[in-house]
This record gives sequence, structure tokens and C-alpha cells, in this order.
Amino acid sequence: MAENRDREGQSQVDNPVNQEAAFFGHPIDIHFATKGLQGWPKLHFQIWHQDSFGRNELYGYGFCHVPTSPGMHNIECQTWKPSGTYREQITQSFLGGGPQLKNPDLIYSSALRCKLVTTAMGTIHLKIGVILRNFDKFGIEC
Amino acid sequence: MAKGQDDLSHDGETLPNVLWSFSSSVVEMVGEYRFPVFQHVNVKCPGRLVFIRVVTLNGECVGGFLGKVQFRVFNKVELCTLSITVKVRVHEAGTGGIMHAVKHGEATMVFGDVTYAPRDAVEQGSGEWLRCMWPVDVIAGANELEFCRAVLPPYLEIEPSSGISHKHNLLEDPAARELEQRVLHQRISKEYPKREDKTLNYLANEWYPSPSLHVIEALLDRITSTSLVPTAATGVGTAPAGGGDVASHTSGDEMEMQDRNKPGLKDKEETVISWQQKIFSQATEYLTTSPNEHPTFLSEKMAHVRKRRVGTGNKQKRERDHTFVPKLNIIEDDPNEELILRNHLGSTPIQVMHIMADLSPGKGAPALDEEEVVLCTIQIKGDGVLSIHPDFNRGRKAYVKESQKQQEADRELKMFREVYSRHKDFLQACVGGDFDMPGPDVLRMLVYGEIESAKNFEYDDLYLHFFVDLPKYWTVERQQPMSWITQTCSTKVLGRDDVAYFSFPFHFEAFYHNDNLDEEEKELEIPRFPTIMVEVLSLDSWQRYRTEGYSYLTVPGQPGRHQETIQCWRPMGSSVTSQLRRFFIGGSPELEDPTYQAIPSTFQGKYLSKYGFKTESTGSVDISLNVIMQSRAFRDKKANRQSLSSLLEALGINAVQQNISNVLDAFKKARQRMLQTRENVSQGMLKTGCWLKSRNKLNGADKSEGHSWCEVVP
Repeated sequence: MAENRDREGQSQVDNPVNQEAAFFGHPIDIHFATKGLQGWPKLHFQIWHQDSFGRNELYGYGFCHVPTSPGMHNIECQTWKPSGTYREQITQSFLGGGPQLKNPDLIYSSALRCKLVTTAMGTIHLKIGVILRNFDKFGIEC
Repeated sequence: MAKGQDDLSHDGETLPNVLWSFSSSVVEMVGEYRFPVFQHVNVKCPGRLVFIRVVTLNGECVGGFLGKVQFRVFNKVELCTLSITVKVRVHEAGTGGIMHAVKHGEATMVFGDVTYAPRDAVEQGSGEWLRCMWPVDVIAGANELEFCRAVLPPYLEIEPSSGISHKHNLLEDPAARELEQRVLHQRISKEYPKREDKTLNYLANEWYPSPSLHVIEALLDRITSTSLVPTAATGVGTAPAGGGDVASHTSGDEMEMQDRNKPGLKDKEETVISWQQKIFSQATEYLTTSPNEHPTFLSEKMAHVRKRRVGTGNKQKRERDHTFVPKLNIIEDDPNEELILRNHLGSTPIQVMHIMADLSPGKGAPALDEEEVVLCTIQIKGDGVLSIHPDFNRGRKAYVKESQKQQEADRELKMFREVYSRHKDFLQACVGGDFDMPGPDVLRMLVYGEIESAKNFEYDDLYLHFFVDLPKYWTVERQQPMSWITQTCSTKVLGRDDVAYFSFPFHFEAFYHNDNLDEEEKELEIPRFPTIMVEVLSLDSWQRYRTEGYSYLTVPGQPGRHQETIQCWRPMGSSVTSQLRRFFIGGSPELEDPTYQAIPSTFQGKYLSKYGFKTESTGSVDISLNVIMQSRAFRDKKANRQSLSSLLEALGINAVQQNISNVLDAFKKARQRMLQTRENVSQGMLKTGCWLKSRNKLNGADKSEGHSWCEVVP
């Protein structure tokens, strides 16, 4: 259960100039409380691209679990996006756009993933510091 | 239908060690409709466990043993035919089903006329749900006939009109029938000598109508919103039945579903199911709204695979609510602006207040729309922006909050503190106090993992199939999925590698409990951790399917986050042909035993040799795992700093037990010593002649500790 009600955020639009990476430095600060180990917080991402006309197009979906062990973690989160038919892929390479998930729940659920056909996209780099409290009280090692 | 006979006539004796073999007749439920799924089990061998179950979409078992089981002995081959009616009404949605009922002894089996409580014979740890059904022990002798039926659990009800009907008798052999009738008669009259002949006749005819195969006439009823609430559909134009080979539309008031994408959806249909015939729901899943879209080959194949579905348990149910995914149209081809905004922008909660003027004449009359005028709109957003419309800045400098005095600031701080403490209390109340703990002597391990990527495999369009293999003493909750299939991902070039990204989530929860009673054996045993078996496959656009690699990963015994890369190999065919085949038409050698990647499940002996098995090394798979362990013993560990390995060994020997046994040992030793000294002393005293005096001493010392005896010992 999250203490803050806002469990989502959005970074700025960054224009990578010198490297092939966009730097966001977007802070993540969430406080959770739990009374059981069933389920663990997950992070899921949607990468969007904004072109010079102000059009937004989907560049990828990513998912990772919040690390369970306390400490600083460098996480690489791989992303993918649904690929359409050949025709769509061709259109897409000229005009942009493309299919996206109807329901973003599919990013972090594994049930119906096997019905998707996707393309590998970029990687998100995360630095997450985790502080755990009172877990040892209940005999949890993480 | 003739096919069924072949399947039935298997000889049970050819498979002496197999208790049962499974053949199913499945009404598969795809889409959003609630067809129960039912299955037949063909019992062929001694032991005779019979299971049937009716399962809803969510994998919840809602009933079992609808109908009857018939056995007959025919040339010493035992056959079992099952008749099932399909129409079942469930009074409580999502009840635990048969499993639950069996465990708590709610359901009873009627066997003949005798009521038995079903045995609680749930097999442990097999991981395959079929083996934990509702077993009915049919004790049939070599040449006897048995019949039984089931009484349903109270929340189930069978539609009375849709009874079992035996329409086609495929083996209409009067002689055989007469013989069996006679045998049955004998048996019944032997068991129920007081019955009248009439009842016997009835029983014989009703319960064992013919020796033939039966087909089942089923009325399939699709439950949709329109069929549940018929009035809701009156405004909707109904399309006439699309025809087809299945009889439908007996009455006029049946509503047809509105055509969504494909024609031919019917709400009700009658169909005849023969032995081992498969029926699938007409609704197939479509990924996109595009009219010429076809479901992928993989998803088509997957639709035929029975999966353990996340469902019955409360915990899973909670989770399922969060991760609901619509069954139809996962991909939005043509996202509209609203959808983009909704998915894209993080929405901040907004509270709006309108200040309005009511210009109506009053006197209780409701105001008209025109008479209500919005004077001012005040919005406050979650990020703290307050906006007022109409604007009163009019191009001047924006409103700035003045800094307050020290006293005010203090007051505000105090107020904040109070608010925070209240909020904390509120949260505490929401979350609750009692933390989930595993039982004593149990190690609970949770693994939250992601399949990150697959690198450098030969072909494109990869997907992974992986499952968890549990070693001895590990158990999992039954409803938990332990096998997963990722999406199909095409690779991209990254440096010198071809990578496919999955970021596929999976998690499982396993319990380690060493219940070996033999203490010595237990000490020798080293706990093993679950293994994740991975199989990489590729499926190209021509549906050529190739095995790309196998590998496995043992879940690390260390809690924390682990980033693992596993290297894969794939079996090579022995001939050039298989390589050519792989190249041209796909299909490559696969492992028959999926655990062969690690220690094969059939392995017994000293040396594991895979010599003679030709493989080729292929790419690698990146997996990251978050491992959490929980045990009561860890709490104690905090006090006396044991290492994890020694703790694992100690698991199972409860600390309290150990203490008690220590104390008992000490007590025994002391007692032994006491008795010895007593004897010595009494002998010594007798010799010296001071027997009486020493006896008194002894009595006095009896109540005290053994140490005091040291003084008396000569």
C-alpha cells in the first residue's frame, strides 16, 4: 500500500544531443507499507517520443520489480513495443505512430503476453535506493 | 464417434504402473463467456481413480461428478464411460470448488445407495492439477459391474431438464446387453436383497442402460450481458442465426449477440458431443481491430494448451483484480487522443468547486438549466496549483502567497504534525497489524523475477518458455502458475549482439519444509533450491518453429537481487537432414524430458553422463531475480547470529525441541549419576555400620540436586 496517492509520474521531454541517451534525472520517491509479502511493488514504464511537430508516439514499454534488498541498485530495464503487420511497420517508418497496448496492465502482467508480437527497443537505466524497515522483525531476509 | 471406441479399447494391462490415463473432452472457453469446461477421464487400470471436474474460465472448479460413471468389464478390459450434463447453475460465484469441498468434507459421494464421504486423497507436490481432483474409489472386482453417482455440493444445481440422454447406441448388441443386465441384476440383488424387483429393474435400466458408448447431448449457453438481462437487448437489432451445422434457435425470444468482429456467435446451441470430441467456443481472440487480422500461430496453439490459471485462492484473487487484462483486443491500433492522454499523461487528481447562482423564482420549483449560472470555478490540482476562473489577474502579476509571521508558521507546523500523525494512524488502520508469517519450521521463499533479454540466438522472433522445477521438500500453492510463455519479440542489433527484450515479469512463492522424520538422514541432506528451466524458441512469419536453446538457472540461495546470465545450448540432430530441415522447414530436435537440461528427473546413480548427446552452444538469456526469504527461524537468528547455511540445516529441528531434548539429556545423566552414587554410598555405609544415619541423609538429599551427593561419595 503506497502512502502517497500519486503512484505515477512523468518526466520531462529530453533531447539527447551528444549521446544516444536521454537523461532525465527524474526522482522516484515512494513510501510503502505492507502486512504481508504477497506481491511486491513493480515499476512499469512507457517511453514516448515527441517529434518537432509535437506528435507523441510510443517508443516502448518496460517493466522491473523494485529491488527487494536494501541499498543502492543500478537497474537496467529493457523495453519493447508491440509490432504491427508488415504494412504497418512500413507506414510507421515513414509516418511514425504504430500500435500500442489497449490496456497498460499488460506491461506488468504475464498472463496474456504470449499473444503479443513485439520488437526490442531501448533500455532504461534506473538508480534506486531502497530502505527497508522492520522486515527483520518478521523473519524476512531480503 | 467411431474413434472413441478405439480409445476405449486400450488394454489396461499394457500400462501396469500407470494408474490412469487422461483423455479429455473439453468445451474450451475462450473469450468472455462462461462455458464450463469439462473433462473426461478414462480409467483403464487397477486402482480406479475417477475424476471429472467442471471448471470455469478462471480455473475455478465449480463442480465435479455431474452425471454418472459406468464401468463394465469386457474381455477383462475395463472401460469407463462418463456421461455429463453441461448445464450447471452455480449459486455462489468463485467458491473454492471441489477441492475445497473435499478438504472440508462438505461434499459426499453417493456410491450406489450408500453415502460415503470422499476420501481426502489429495496428492502432494505434484504440481499438476489433475492429480488433485476428487477421487472416487470404485472397488470393482474382476468381473463385476459398478455404478455410482455423485451428490453435488450445495452451491451447485443441475438443470433438471437437461438430463443425460443417451441418444446413440453404437454397440447395439442385444446379447451383450442382456448379459450385462443379468450381471447387474445379480449384483444389485446381492447388495440390496430387500429391494423389490421393480426398483432393481429401474436401477438396472436407469443406471446402466446399454453397454455401448454414449454421446452427450449438451445445451451450451453463453452467458453475456444480454442473455443475463434480456430486457437490455430489446433495443438492439438482432441478427438471425448464421446457420451452421449446429442446431440452434428453437425459440424466438433468444437474443443473438451483436456481431463484434466475426459473424457466427450464438447465445445458445445444442450440440452432441461424442467421446473425446473437442468443442471450442466460437469466439476466438483477436489482437487488433483490423478486419484482416489473424491471431498469431503461437496464440492459436496456446489456446489448446490447458493452463493452470490464477484464480481460486484469496491472495491470487486480490492480485488478479489488480492485473485485469481484457481478453479481446489487447493492442489498440488506432489510439484516439483521449486514450493517448490517459495512458500518457500522469493524471493528477483535481477537485473542482463551482460557485453558482440560482436565478429561479424559488418556491420549491426546480430550477431550469438556464437559470443556473456558474459565477466562479475554483480548481485545485494534486500538485498544488489553484486556478480560478474567471481570471482576476487580467495580465497583471500573478497572485503570490505572502510569507507569514513566525507565530503563524509555528501554528502551521503544529497543524501539519497533527495531520501527519493522523495520517499515519489512518494508514496503520488500513494496512493492519498482523503480518503474514509462515508456519514454524518452514522457509518461505518468494522470487520476483524478470526475463530481461535474450542475446545472440540464431534466428529472429524469439520467445521463451520457462517453468520452475521444485526439488524435494519444496511445495507451492496449487493455484499458482509455475510455467510461463513470453511474448514473441523480434531482435535488434546492439553492438555486435542480436538482442530481444522481453522484460517479462514472473513471480512465485515456494515453501521449504523438511518433514523427514529420520534425524540422521535429515542431517545428511543438503537443501536444494528450485530450478528455473528455460527453453528458447523462435517462430518466424512462416510459422516455422525452431528450438533455439535450453538452459537452467538454480534460484540463488542468497536473498537479494541477482542478475544472472545463463548460456544456452541446443540439441543437434544426428544427421545432416535434420539441419537441412531446421533451415528450410523448421522444426528441430527437442528434449523429451524438459528437466534434462539440469539433472534429469529420471537420473539415478552416481555419475551423470551426457556423453553421446550432441549439442551446439547458442545464445544467452538474462534473468534478474529478487529473492526474499522468510522464516520464523530468522527471527531467532537475529539473536544468535547463525549463518544461513547452518540455519537451513537446523530448519525442521525446532529450537524449542532442541532445548527440551538438551534438558532431558542432562536430567537423564544426572539421574544416572545419582542412582550410582546412591548405591555406592549405601553399600559403603552398610560396611561401616552407619546405615540408619546415612539413610536419613539420603532422604534429605533426594529432594536436592545431584551435586550434593559429591560430599557423601567416599
